[in-house]
Amino acid sequence: MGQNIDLSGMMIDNPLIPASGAFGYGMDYQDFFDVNEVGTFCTKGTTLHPHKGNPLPRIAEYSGGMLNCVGLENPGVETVVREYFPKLRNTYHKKVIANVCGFSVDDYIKTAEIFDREECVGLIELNISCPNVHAGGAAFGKDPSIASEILTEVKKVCRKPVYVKCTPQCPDLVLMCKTLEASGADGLVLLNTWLGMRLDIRTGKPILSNITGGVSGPGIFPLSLYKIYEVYKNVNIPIIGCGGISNGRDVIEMMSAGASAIEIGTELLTDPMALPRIKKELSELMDTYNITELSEIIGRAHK
Amino acid sequence: MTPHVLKHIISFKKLKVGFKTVRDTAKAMIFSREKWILAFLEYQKPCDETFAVRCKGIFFEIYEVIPLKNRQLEIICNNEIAPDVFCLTLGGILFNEEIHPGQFVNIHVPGKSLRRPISVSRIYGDRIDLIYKIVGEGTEILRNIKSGYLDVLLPCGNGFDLSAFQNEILIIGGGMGVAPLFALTSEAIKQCKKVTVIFGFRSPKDAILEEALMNLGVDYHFCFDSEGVNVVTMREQLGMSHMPFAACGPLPMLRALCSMKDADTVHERQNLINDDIYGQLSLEARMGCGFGACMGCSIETKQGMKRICKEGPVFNSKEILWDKI
Repeated sequence: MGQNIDLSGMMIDNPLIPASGAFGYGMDYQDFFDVNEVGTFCTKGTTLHPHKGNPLPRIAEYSGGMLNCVGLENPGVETVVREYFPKLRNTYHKKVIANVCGFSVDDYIKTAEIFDREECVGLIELNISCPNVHAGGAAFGKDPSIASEILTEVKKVCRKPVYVKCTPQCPDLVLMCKTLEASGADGLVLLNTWLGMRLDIRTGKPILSNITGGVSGPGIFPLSLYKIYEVYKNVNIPIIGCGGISNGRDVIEMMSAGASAIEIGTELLTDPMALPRIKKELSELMDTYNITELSEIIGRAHK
Repeated sequence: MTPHVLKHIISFKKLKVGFKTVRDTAKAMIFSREKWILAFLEYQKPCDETFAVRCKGIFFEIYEVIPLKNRQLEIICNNEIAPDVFCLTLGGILFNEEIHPGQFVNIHVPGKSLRRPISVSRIYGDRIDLIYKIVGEGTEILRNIKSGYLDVLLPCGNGFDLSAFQNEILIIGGGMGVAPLFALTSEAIKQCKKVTVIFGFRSPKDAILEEALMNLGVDYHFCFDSEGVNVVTMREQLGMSHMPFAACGPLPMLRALCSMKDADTVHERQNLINDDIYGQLSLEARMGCGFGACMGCSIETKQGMKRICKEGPVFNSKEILWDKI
């Protein structure tokens, strides 16, 4: 039984990838399970300079999951490669996906360039979809011309595959994805969180400090699934599916819709043992449904 | 990380050694009180009795880092002890080995997506008491669960550091902030420190833990907003305004405790933080994960960004940037 997946030359031995922002820099789950069980993982969204993020409260809840407005808190790319990566290598032996964020085109280029030189980075995930920052982030991800400009510039300085993580706030996602493919994207990550809000029942005021936040969790799964289904019909590059996956069944569905691999976020926060659990469920489901090679089910919904 | 003495060799106050098991090897980290990691050591398990760490010629205390885990804990009881305040007793493991005062547990409440972080107010043998107030949907569900098992993540965060206090400690709690301080009081008494407790509540009917404090035989003082006395004024009355303290409670209370005593208004107090007063403050926040992964509860401190769930919830009062929280 095979779960090997090829992400533009980066081979992973299973399709389960902790999503950016839910796994830090890989060191917060070591108490719970051997982190080498992941296919690979996405680092916390990293910017050129250290970024403090938004004030508290950054977290709210809804019946289908959660909302966050962390706002890209990170120590900056230099600290990550100089301090975090060497520590990470003590326990984690696979490659990582470096999630690159920025507030200007130049930020993206410089950050990606630094990550690209790191041996442990297998792939660059260009994050033009963070909903919680006031400059850059999702603002870039809604405009195909800016998005393709960033991608083109980043591709010039990177030898490693570059995937673009898109926002569901993009008015025409299919057009965006086709534009990115034409501009040289090696793959797509669909999707970042959905913009939403919660109000305090007593005061009637927003709970989150940033007023809005990114909605995630099992409640958005059907929405993400549909978007991936739609985009898959229109592009020929690999898609990493992301949005509300909480069990092995969701993984099979997402891959059937067209995802080559999947990212898990919120479920890891509520159940830190979710990754080994989903991995086991996936193996059992492959048995049940006689799936011998997982890669063969990618996009089977369309056949 | 939970510091836990594995083998006491020669105590050296400024430095601690962390001990972490990673598969079959173990790693030791030496860090100062400010948590700067000074050295890493790696050695094969099992470490023998004579294991010691030598760094620049000095031996250090060896601490074991208890891994954070999720466990199924049995609900022993879950009763209302004051209006809308419940005490949940959980059982299952030997908690004295696992939890230190000031640490918290993160409970999966059936039907809710996020866990609920709740501080531990009593640690005794194979049981812990958690005191919580009904504040929203999660606690509303929790109050009605009277038996069975709960999925609980523990131990979370870093607790109070009693070794930082000399012989005397002032323990100050406000509202539900008193919950973790009862565990601290018990531990401080066990360590033969002279303890004074000040607990403040909105009104006498909201008061909790009085009998428990009485049974400990500790010097305690209750004060009530309804009677015009709060913990800050009580501290002044007792002439203890400059004594090192440990506190938990609403942010304005914590801020006032760290301020010049003659500051009258909250606004003034913000600008008059008294750096001569040493306190350990336990903070709270809405949390995503409770174990440091999501950055949902980070605050800016004088030493940079820190996560309330991981580096906290207990902070040195001097590292807090009051205008940032």
